Amino acid sequence: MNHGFFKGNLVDLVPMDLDKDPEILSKWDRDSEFKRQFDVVPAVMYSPILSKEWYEAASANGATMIIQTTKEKKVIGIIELDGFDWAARSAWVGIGIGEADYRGKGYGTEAMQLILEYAFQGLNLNRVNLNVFAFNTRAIRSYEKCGFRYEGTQREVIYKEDQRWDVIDMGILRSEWEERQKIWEREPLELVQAAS
Amino acid sequence: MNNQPLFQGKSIHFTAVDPEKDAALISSWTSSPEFVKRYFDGFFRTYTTVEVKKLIKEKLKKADESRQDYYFAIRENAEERMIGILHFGWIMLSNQSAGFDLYFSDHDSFEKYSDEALKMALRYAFMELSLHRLCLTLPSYDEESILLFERAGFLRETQSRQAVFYNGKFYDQLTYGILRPEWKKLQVEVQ
Repeated sequence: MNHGFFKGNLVDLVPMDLDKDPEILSKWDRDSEFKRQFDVVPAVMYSPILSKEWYEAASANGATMIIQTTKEKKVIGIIELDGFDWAARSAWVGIGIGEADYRGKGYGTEAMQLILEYAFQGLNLNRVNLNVFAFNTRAIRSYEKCGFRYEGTQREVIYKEDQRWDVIDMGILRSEWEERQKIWEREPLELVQAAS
Repeated sequence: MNNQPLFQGKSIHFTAVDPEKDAALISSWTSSPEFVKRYFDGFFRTYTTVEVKKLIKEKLKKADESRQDYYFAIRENAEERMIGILHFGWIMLSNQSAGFDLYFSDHDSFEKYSDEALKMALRYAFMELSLHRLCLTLPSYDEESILLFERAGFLRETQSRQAVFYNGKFYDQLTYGILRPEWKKLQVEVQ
C-alpha cells in the first residue's frame, strides 16, 4: 500500500495556494515578534506579491510547505526543508507559526514530526539541522520534543534591541529518529493532543 | 587612521580574483571535494576552465551587487602565484556578524602562509568590515586547520554530529567563532 506523507492529526503540510495564501503571509509580517524569531536579518514587510515570489524562490531550492489545520483547513504557518547536502544526506529545517493563537499548542511540533518523517523515510536523509535563537525557549522545547539534540551555541550572532543574542545549533540523526518512532508507536498522538 | 596595509603582508598579498587569468588554475583545484563544496555550491565534480570563468564572473557580480560576499585571491609576494582564496560570506551587517573560508591549494602553501593569511583576514574582518563576530565551519578530520584557528583565538562553539561525508565516512562539523573584543585583546598581548 502506498503511504502518503504530510498528513497528521492536528495539521497537514500542503503546497501554497498561490492565489490566497500570499495575503496571509503578508499579514503575518505585521507581527514583529514572529518576524524576529523567523529570521536573523532585519524584520521587513513583504507585500502579497513579494510573499509569493519569496515562496516560489524558496520552493525552487527545497521543500517549502504551508501548515494547515486538519479540521478547519486554516493556514497557520510555514515549514521548509532546504540546504540539502546529498553526500552527507543532510538538510536544514525552518518553521514558523504565523497565527499567534496556534502557538504553544502542539501544532508546530506535529508539523515538525511530519517533515522529519518525510526527511528520513521519504528522502533517506541521515541528519536534519536547525538553528534557533537562544531567547526562543518555546521553539527549543518543541524541537526537543521532536528529538533534536543541542549541539552548541554560536555566541553573539544577533544584534537587536542594543543587545547581542546567541544562536543555538540543534540536530537529529536518523538513528535517533528511528529510536523515537518506537516510543510514538506505543503512545502516538496523545502527547501532542494533551498540550492543546 | 592606522594605515597599516590591509592587503600586503610580509610574504603574501591579497588581490582581486581575476576570472580571465585565474580560471585555469582554479579549474585544477576542482578535484578537491572541499574546494568544490565551499565555493561552487553544487555537488562535487570537476569544472572546466570555461565553467569556472563563468561561475566566478557570476559570483563576483553578485558579490558586488549584494555586498554579502567578498572574495580575495591570496598570492605569493615572490612569484605572484595564486595559492588560495579568502572568502567572507553570510555577511549580516546589521548584526555585525559574518562567516568566512580560507582555502589553500596545497599543503606546502598552507604550512608556509596560513598564519599570515589568517592574521590579515582577521584584521580586514574587524577593522575594515567592522564586524563583531566572525565564524567558520571545519570538518573534524581537518586537524591542522583546527590548530590554525585555535592558535588565532577561535573558540569551538558547536559540533554537528555526522554533518560531513568525506572519503567514505561521516565526520562531525565544527563551528569556530571569534568576537572582536577577544581578537583585540590578543593584538595587545602580541605588542
